[in-house]
Amino acid sequence: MTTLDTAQAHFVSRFADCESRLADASPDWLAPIRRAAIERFAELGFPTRRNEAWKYTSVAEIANASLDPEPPVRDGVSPDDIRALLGSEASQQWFVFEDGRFAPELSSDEALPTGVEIEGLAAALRKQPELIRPLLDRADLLDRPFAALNGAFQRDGAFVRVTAGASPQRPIQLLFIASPGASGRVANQRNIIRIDRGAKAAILLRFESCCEDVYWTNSMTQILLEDNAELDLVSVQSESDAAYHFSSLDIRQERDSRFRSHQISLGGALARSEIYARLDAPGVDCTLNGLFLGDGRQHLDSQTTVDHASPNGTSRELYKGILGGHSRGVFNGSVLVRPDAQKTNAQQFNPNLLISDDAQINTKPTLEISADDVKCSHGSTVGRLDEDALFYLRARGVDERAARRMLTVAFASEIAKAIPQDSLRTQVERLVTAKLERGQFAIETARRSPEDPL
Amino acid sequence: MTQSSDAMLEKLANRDYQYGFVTDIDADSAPPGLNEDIVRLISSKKNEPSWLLDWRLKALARFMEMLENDVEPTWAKVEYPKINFQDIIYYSAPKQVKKLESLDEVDPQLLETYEKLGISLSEQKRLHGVAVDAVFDSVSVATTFKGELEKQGIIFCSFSEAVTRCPELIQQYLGSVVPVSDNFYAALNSAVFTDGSFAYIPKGVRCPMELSTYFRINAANTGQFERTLLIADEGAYVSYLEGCTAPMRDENQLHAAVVELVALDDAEIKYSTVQNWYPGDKDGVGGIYNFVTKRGACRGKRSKISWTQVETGSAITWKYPSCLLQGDDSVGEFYSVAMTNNLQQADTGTKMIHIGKRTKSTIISKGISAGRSSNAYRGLVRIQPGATGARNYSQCDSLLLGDRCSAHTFPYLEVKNASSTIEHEATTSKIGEDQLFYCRQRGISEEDAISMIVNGFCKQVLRELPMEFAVEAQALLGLSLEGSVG
Repeated sequence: MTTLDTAQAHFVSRFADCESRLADASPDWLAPIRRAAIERFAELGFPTRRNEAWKYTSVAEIANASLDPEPPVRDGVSPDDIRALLGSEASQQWFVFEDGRFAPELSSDEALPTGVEIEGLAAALRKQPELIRPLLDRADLLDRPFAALNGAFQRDGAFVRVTAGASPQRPIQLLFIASPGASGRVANQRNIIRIDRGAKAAILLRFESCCEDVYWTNSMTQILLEDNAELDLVSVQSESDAAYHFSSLDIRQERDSRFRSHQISLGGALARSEIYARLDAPGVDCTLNGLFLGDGRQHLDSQTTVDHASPNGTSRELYKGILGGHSRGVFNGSVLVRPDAQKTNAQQFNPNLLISDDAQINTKPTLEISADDVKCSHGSTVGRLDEDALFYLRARGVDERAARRMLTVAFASEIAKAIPQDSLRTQVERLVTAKLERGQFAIETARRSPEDPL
Repeated sequence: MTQSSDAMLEKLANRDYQYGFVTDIDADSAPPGLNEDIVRLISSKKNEPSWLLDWRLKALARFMEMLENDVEPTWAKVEYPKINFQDIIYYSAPKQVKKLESLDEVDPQLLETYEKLGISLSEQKRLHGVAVDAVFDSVSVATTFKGELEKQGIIFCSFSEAVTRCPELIQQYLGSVVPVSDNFYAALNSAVFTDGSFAYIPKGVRCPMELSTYFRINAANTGQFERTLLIADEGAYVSYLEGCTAPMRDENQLHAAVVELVALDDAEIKYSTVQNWYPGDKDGVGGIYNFVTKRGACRGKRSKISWTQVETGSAITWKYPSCLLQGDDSVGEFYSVAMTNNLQQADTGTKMIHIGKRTKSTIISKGISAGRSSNAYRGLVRIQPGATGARNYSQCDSLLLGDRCSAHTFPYLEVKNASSTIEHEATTSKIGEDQLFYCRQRGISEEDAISMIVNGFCKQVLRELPMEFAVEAQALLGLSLEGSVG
């Protein structure tokens, strides 16, 4: 039996142990959904690297860690912890989730903006089953092993709804925090975001940690944009250096809706994000932007799929990677254009910067096109900082470290700049800069072979 | 798309495959099936030394193991019924009693076949200065220009001949680029290959003519397992042409060739292919399965291997001509036009493995899909940690003609050092209405306009072909393309 098999058996048997406890915590209709999910997980198991989607990412380390997917509740985060984490941003309105569970006592008690509903998913399940049940009961979500695992152990998470026509002024900020007691545990959280017809909103998902030990955030977020809805989703992942972070985003877009994702991946020993955006109706606009900054021995993996299933869709994707130290980056972006999705316009670009000779990047942008009247393109580059640009700066008296930092920050800034909401942009810029300044990350001088001229 | 072009598409798509004919010659065939006996039979028919038989048997064992473990590759974006490897005839040779002294002794029917294919040996000999090593099914029947090449010390002969003539070269290089267990089809080929071409260009020699082989598959149910080995010694240069047509068949025919190239210090090999095997009819019946392993090793410093291919035929193409850039400053190139129509499926591309310092590679791939076909580019660029200062540029463009075809791009970029620069870009689109309008407005017919635009689309690749091939390739492209004007 391999480690992966052992881990799979561990999770399956853990489910059998906790099934009744999980059932007590949720409405009856959820039990068969959980059961279907664990059965699917038992079939799929932990993915090996023979699995094309996991070719460049090994989960053996997670399998080895024997983590508990259904641990007893422990409160550990204090308001002080949150203030320390957020600094000046602590005064803003936050909805806090501790190890994946809604923590109203840690959240701001300000009144919600008009047209916005936020609560824990566990509570929303009981109040609005007709809305949530069809979203959770989706067999197609179970084809990815960790989404299936999430389906089996899900308990809580965020439920956000922006009602028809509403347009809250301020961004809705959700803070997912790993408690000091998160060590050895899996947080299987499920978030549901629903933007009703004609509504417009900006939502921040921020993942932080008060735990230096090994833990695993396994997050699944489902987003539904109704006709003509608009959403800016900013997700910033700054888990601790020892953490595993998997997040799945599943996006369904209805007619003429506009979705922009800004995904920043900074933390975690092994972090992987999967985005699946399905453009289900005509005239949909989808933008996926992303930035991953790896250093030390981090492994950061970004997987995106844009599925053009309807005509007249537009998608743009820009994922940038900066890798230093011994870090590994993976980008796998696929664009599907289905036979009827005529007049699709899809672009994808993945430029990467390798700061250190020991860093590696594996990138695979793919196009699968089955309609002819389309404009699709993708590109990917890997390189180091432009020597001409460095020379230009140095010729003007900027020292090499400062010049390198300047160019690296400039390379990264394009992603933050695309965030339309000022407060969110500032927040992202601050976090990105902090990561770039950490250690020798951005200013490390790439080792050169002696015969290789500057 | 306009009504008139739809009609034209219909008309042209129904064009018959020009080269579909069967030559009626008694074939000396072994019974179908794959086992040790058949491998021994092939080996003894070829009078092979025992080390080669052992090598084949090892490959067979490996293949059987793969077959048992069901590792037949399934990752390519192609679909076909499972092949029964026991149904295939692994050996078939045209009846031939003695070694031939001149072309006059060749069965006139064979010669006629070549005439139909447009490769008249005598004509080519006189007019083009091309040495042709024609492969009819599995055995070479005639070779020209040998004397002229021998004067320069160049060895260019059939593979079986090379085994007896220069066994030490074969023993040294066979399987050194594509090992026996490299992949499923390479293992199969290693066990049962019947013949192929061999060329050795000695140190500092620039081969005075383009070396050329025409392959032809004949005899129903015969899989064709070619083995080609080209070695360019230090400072040598050779340009090699490979072209193929095959007769019309209802049953699918498997072709699993292996091509190995070795370039030593400062050597250069240019390998050009025009592939026009029977693609099956418009309902996808018949056609060749072309599962080929082609790989070149730039062993020496400053060596260069350049692959150019125009792929218009075969029901299924599964082919990734690759370069192992081992020597410092070595260069790999891949220029490809892949055209699919009707129900053809192509999954083709390249691998550039950068190992030596300052190695460079260029990939230019043009895919054209029409009808209900599927055309995929699949490529790997890997920069090893030691390949400092490596450079790669890849461009993969797809053109879609018709609304039921598909085009896919699967590039893999694996970069393991920071001093290298890698660029990949790909686009997919159809012929612009405005481009067509521009041409039509100037009195150019729609068909000509499309042919012109597509030729322009492929120009970067076509201009890499040697003169002899460029004309044929353009005509071929026109032919396959005209059937799908959209």
